[in-house]
Amino acid sequence: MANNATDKDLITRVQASAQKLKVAATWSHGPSLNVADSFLLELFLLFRIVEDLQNTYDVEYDPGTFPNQNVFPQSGAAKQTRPKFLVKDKASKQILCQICPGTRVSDRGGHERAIDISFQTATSPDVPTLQHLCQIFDAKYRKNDLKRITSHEFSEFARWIDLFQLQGKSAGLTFKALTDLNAHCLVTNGEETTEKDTERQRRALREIANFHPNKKYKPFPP
Amino acid sequence: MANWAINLESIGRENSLLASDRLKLPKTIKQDDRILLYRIQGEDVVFLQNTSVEFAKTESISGVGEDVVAIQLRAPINLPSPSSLSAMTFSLELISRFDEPSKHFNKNIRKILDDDYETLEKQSIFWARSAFGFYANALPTDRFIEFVQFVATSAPGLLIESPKFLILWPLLRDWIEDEYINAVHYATAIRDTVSRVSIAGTSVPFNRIRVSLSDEKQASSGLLSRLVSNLESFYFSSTNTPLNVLSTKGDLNSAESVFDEIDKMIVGNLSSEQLFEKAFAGKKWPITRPIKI
Repeated sequence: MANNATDKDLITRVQASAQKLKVAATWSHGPSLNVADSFLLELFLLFRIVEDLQNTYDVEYDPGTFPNQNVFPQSGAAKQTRPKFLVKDKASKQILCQICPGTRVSDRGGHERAIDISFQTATSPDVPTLQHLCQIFDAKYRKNDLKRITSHEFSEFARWIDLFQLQGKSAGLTFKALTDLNAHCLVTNGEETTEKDTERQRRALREIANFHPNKKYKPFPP
Repeated sequence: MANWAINLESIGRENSLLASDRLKLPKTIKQDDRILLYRIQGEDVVFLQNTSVEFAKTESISGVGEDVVAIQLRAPINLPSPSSLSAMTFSLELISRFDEPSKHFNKNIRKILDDDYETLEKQSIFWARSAFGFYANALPTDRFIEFVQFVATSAPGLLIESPKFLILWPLLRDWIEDEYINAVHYATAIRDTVSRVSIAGTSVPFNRIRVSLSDEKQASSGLLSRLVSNLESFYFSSTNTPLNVLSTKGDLNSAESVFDEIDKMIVGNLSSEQLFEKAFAGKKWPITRPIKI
């Protein structure tokens, strides 16, 4: 026989929890939240990069301007007026690099592609092209974190490195703890592909698996 | 023998009840019919007592053209504890208005099925359907449709057969956990990282950061801090885990969640759940939005 007091208490908790879910899922007055879009992983990666680089550089936040001041794009957007970070030499205060979240850059065919996080040259303009690009990051969120980056995603990222002619390029920044991020990185909360390290090296990319606040990430190749 | 739910407000001092303009007693009400007495409390209906019909008779009253029914009730007995309709919304067969279940009781008297009578009297709960109903109806429509797609790929038979809540609920539970509980890790970590970044000299106004869907929809941006706190309050209301435990241990899965407790109830009352499942066979999904499943 069920205990009525406990039953009622649990139903009350279920109702309260469902009400909170409704609020969280709707996200203020705006669109409903879809974490599958990877933007939480992207933002986490962005701020972790900034945090790490603060050890070695002065990092300045440029909030952008109206109408996109402090507005980070969930999917790709034009760079103009959007927020970015400026990485400066601590001593000379000279800008070394721009860190741009979610902005579009045109590839060698003139086709614009939205890059989750890109390191761009100090003088990269509001409408950047491949020559302003130094390093790219792509975030792949897995709802089920036992799932791998797919071979299709791997090939697509490798293709972008090719389309942006990024083989051998790097921003040359020194990371302190996240040293493995000094590469073109395919980052996921899930698991890595089944590709071999030789293939990853040939494609000039690194996979970062288990990139999660409570886990130690795994770099491939190490 | 039939069962009836009657609003306590309609009953006279001596537990007698006469048809009136306010309350039209049905001619089918008979001696020994079982009665549940309820009160309207705000938006809810609360069942307080049970009793039965001592006798029913038709009377002709001068000035009224036709015979009217009058009944005398036996002395009502308090239920072990009051039983609220909102808690039983998904356990009663008579409910089809899941957004406003009390509308089913706005006539002061209504017939209720044997199953529903027993459910109300014993205050038994169909846990799998209740959990499914409360959470499924909390999802925005587009996310609910995504869940339906998820069911279509993982267990397509469920969209064709009678709904099986003992299978549907675990699917919804997993979907919500993957979708929202896991996001709490990232959301709170973003806030904590931004806070450290700001302290270390790169001033980022976390409370002003918004996330927009695309170029064209600047207006449809959401405040990141609100998203983080909304996800966090959903997490805490589902786990009862205090904030400091989250931030120091960071292991969200170790906490006893509402989901776990529901599953314990289902396992502990499995035969009752299975009887409910049979009783509700043939009914549609208990959802408030106009999707016909």
